[in-house]
Amino acid sequence: MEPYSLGEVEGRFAELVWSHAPLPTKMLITLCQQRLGWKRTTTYTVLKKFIIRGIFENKDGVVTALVSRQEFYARQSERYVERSFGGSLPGFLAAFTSGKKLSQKEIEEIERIIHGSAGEKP
Amino acid sequence: MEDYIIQAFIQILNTSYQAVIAVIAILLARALMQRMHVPPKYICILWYIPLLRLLPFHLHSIFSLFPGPVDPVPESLPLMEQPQINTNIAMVDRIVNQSLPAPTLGASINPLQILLPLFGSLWLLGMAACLLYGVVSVFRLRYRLRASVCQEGDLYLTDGLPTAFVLGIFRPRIYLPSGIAEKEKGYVACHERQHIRRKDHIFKAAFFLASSICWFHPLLWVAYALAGRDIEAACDEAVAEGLSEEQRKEYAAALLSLAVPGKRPFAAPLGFSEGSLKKRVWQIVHYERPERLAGILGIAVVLCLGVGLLTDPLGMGAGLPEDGIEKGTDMPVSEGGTAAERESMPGS
Repeated sequence: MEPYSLGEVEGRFAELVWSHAPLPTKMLITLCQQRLGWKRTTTYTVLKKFIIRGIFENKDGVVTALVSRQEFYARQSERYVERSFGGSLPGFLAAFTSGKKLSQKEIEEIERIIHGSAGEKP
Repeated sequence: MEDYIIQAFIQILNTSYQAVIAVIAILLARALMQRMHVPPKYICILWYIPLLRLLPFHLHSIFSLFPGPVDPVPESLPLMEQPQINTNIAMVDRIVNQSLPAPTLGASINPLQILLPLFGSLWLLGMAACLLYGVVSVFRLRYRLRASVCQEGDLYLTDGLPTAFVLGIFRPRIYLPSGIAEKEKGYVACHERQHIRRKDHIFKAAFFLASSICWFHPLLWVAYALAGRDIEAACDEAVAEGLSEEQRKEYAAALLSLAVPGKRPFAAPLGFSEGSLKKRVWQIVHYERPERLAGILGIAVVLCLGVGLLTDPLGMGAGLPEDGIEKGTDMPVSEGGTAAERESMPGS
């Protein structure tokens, strides 16, 4: 998930979802109409932005939160905190990943492997 | 004092010779084992061999894989009239012995008696630097980790960590980056627990120590890096074993997620090449139960190499068959020695 700052309005929308998720899409539309004064199409448009970023999901008429409010904000603050850690992790620790940066190309290649469409063994 | 440095340095030279032979043999065996799909956990056992060679015990057997004496550099090297080493590998002996400076005719100084303490001191400094780096890194890390929160048991959450890891030898703790997703937490913790179960946290520290002692030899650092990779592969496999296909994909996704830039903007100093993450993900997603035969082959190779590399050849003591301190008529002449060097020198 990329880092994504919420504008104030989107923030209010997200709060609605987080407070009530999982909820039927129809109910979300009603809530947005009542609390934010939005038309049905507006709600769908904004929701779609969150769906693209993998934060919420709209399946079978139900809206669920893939990323909780807590996780979302934790990841936001991460970016600032990390720079202060100023990283050198010693290499002799038993770690999960080596912490090396990956290029965009490598990320895509790895995603392809995970989703089963990659070719030969690296 | 100088004598101690010389003796210790010669000892280290011999030990690193043993380590080099061992590492070369292991690299060959490892390539074979990987081709035969031997589970990485067996390959990891091989990496204990260079560590064990550092210990001061000597067992002899006919199965030793060493071509010659395991202490090719004799303790009496600085005192020899014709300094030479003896590995029984003709090419190595020739090259090294040709470049060893002999005491010049008539002069009272043996260049080795200056060079050896010099190099010995450099070695000590280098080793001290490496060890200092290690100790300082750990203390700095612990200082930064003081603002951690215990999640449960040995699991701790810390802000701003680039990745999860295990810290501590006697009471190891698992540190997780605080922004980690719930789903990822399970997989990451599982992986780290495997590290602890396999005592990887101790092994890696020990290998770092060994590499620091023989810091001047690049091969040992290469071994250190490769061993690290094998260990990760072994842990990944141990985790993947208990997961369904879908779960393995999630585990691989967790690996990717913790490696994405922008979230983890830094590089570990003694790190591994990026290609290794791709390989790990591949191995996890395509995990298959290893065949029995592969396991048996793995154990067989481990046993063979273990015995072959941890035992010394029979009948060869340390150094040369004859010590060259006394001038003798039967002084062994190395191939390619210059005519001037072969001239007998005035006796001591």
